[in-house]
Amino acid sequence: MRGISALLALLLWLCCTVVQAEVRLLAWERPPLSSQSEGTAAGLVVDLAGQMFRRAGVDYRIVFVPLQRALMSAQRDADSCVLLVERRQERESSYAWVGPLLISRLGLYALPGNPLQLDSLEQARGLRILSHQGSGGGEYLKAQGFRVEFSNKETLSYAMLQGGRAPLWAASPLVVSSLVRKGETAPREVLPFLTLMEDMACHPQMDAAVLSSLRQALIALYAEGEVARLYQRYGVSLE
Amino acid sequence: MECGMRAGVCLLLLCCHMPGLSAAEPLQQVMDELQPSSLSTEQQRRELQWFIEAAQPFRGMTVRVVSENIHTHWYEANVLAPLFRQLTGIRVVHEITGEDDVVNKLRTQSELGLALYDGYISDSDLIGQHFREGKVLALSDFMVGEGRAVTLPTLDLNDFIGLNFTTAPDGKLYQLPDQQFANLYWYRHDWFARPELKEAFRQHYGYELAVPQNWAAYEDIAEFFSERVREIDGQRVYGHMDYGAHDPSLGWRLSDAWLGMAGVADTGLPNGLPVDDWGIRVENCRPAGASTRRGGALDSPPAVYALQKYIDWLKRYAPPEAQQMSFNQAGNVAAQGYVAQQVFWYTAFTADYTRPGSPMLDEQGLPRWRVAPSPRGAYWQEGMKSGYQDVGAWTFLKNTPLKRLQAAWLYAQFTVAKSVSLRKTLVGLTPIRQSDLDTPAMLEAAPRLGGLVEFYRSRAARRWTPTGANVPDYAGMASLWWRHAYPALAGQVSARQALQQLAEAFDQHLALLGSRQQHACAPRLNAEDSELRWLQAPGAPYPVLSDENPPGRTLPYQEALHAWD
Repeated sequence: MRGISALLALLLWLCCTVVQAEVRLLAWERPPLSSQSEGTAAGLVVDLAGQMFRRAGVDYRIVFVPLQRALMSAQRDADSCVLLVERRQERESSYAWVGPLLISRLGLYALPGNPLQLDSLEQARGLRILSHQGSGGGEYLKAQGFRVEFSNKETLSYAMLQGGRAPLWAASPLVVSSLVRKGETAPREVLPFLTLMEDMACHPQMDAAVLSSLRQALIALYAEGEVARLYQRYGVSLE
Repeated sequence: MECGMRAGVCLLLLCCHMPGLSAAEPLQQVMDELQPSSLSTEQQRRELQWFIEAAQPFRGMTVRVVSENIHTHWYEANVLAPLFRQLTGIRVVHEITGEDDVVNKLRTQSELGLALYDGYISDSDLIGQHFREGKVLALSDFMVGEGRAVTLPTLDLNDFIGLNFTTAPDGKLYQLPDQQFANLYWYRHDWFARPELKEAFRQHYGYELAVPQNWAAYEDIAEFFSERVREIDGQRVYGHMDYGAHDPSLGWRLSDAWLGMAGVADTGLPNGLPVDDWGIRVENCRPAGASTRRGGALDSPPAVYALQKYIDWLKRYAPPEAQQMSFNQAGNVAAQGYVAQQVFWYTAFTADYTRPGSPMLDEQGLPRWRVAPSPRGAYWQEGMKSGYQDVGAWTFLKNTPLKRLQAAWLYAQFTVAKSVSLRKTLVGLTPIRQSDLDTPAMLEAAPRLGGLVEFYRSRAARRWTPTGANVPDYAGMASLWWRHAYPALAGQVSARQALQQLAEAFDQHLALLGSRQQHACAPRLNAEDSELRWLQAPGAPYPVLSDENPPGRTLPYQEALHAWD
């Protein structure tokens, strides 16, 4: 009898462990949205994810890995989510989605002294455009047949723009403002072209109750203005 | 510069940003781009002048709109939005993205109250959701209220051929048509005319190689090209084209065309009454169930027949890569020259099939292909819808700030005004106005468009209809289609099991909506009953036919077109 009780206790413990399992958040280096320094994660989406998980009462742990590895792991490991990635039609079936956690207004930026004016995306055809791999904007432009040069860091894209390697840089206002140094004139937005929504992409079989509580928590954060306040803290607006 | 517009306008748009240079007569130069027009020169000038004046309070504003990725919308984004700015001083950021993303963004803005866009071009398939949920602006109210001063006097709503698809059962107009495309049968007219192929087909199948009138004939023709002919002029050819990636567009494929043309629904336009082409039964205007147990038809024998045919043909007759393709990837595959026919072909891709240099054009630049009415499934009956038609329409959310809404409404009307629409139609080939279809310019273009103009000029075009008002949450329910259908395509469950699970998921979703939507037309489920009782009752859901494979029947092209009389 004692054996059966112990077994039941073990089963109960295992069951509760599964329900309350810690979610492994696979973030990737993408300052100022997500980055780590001396083992501490920081950035707008790190903060927002933290608020969402705390409100939902779900434990989590952030691990930094390259984006492609994050995308593969979240398809393989039932406790994993990518923080975060564009919710694209061709990715829809590969993940369970929670979001949007980030809404970016992407534009084409040029150096302040460049007189280039664009009225439509089509007028940028033939021009070289810099983009951060994985940010969504470059992939979008490449799919439309534009000349895109990818880099694995936004700082590199900005340096290439400054060095005259290309006339245009596809980026968001948050990224641009974070990279402009004190006393430096910021690049000029020549053409806004895409609103990008990015979500947390979780393993497709992740516990439905966990996903539901995270989604509810996010909706509450939007409704209470917490998301807007967080954006303001980072100097951007949801408008 | 490949900008889809005339060189003069490209120059105008560039010049206007150069210091010291300005367009001497922007209105005239805009008019130069917008030719031909169904309006006289003076009428067009007056209409465009109205935009200049009506936009005065909004000069200097920027508005954001979004639409799906088809040629017509690229023309709007690349040509019309800059022209509109030239005329009015309102800058329009016209974004282009995937249809799924448009729907996600509309839902996000609606649910979270975020100001993402000032206007959407969204399919009229969502009309059943819009009028029940009350978050989308009723344009018919707006035009006589807060939008009165910014509503084009010459808009002429009755001229829009798809207006009934964007008008809800409550009689209100919720969306303004911007582009339309239909789902038709497409085939290689030149191959079908080859004497040696005609003879070989007649010898083997006992009837003529021509436009199939039923699925049995389509299947014979598919088998003929994929398995008997196999090669034409040294190239491997296929008798069927479709797509099957595990992707949201798989759901559109099935809900747009396969079930409706199999004959799942009741007779009656636009979608069948009381059971529609999604297999949903309505009682009055209330969705009452999708499963046969509740009087729906989503898991009825015609639906199983439809899904099974879709799977069998895709695997057996289509190019192998088609199984991994989505809507956008598959759209122009037949234009590459190795597909003989396509049962459901979206005319939105016509531009890919008429482009100079395309293998789809003969030495005279005329199409080697034709479109015709799609063949019908074994359960199809006279009086049912004849096909699917997509109506992309301007849609505005009530939470849009008024001034931004008014500015965006001006741009929306500009993109569909008579001053603009004929030129846009000739570029994008997605007609919306009867007055454009009646112009000499469209008649002149007809021989180059393989039957598209003849289709739209026919009265039959009204039998091609979008998703109906029975579907109370298109955004939420569309995702159930592909999630449940794919396992059948992947061989994990049978077609019948997949549809039973889908129907059950629909019923649960309808029940949830019924508790959430506060509307007289909110879903209210019928009680469960025996399937047999519903199958034996008149109308849909229909019992299984003793023979789902009747003899194949074809008609010569010209005779097949009589269906459009």
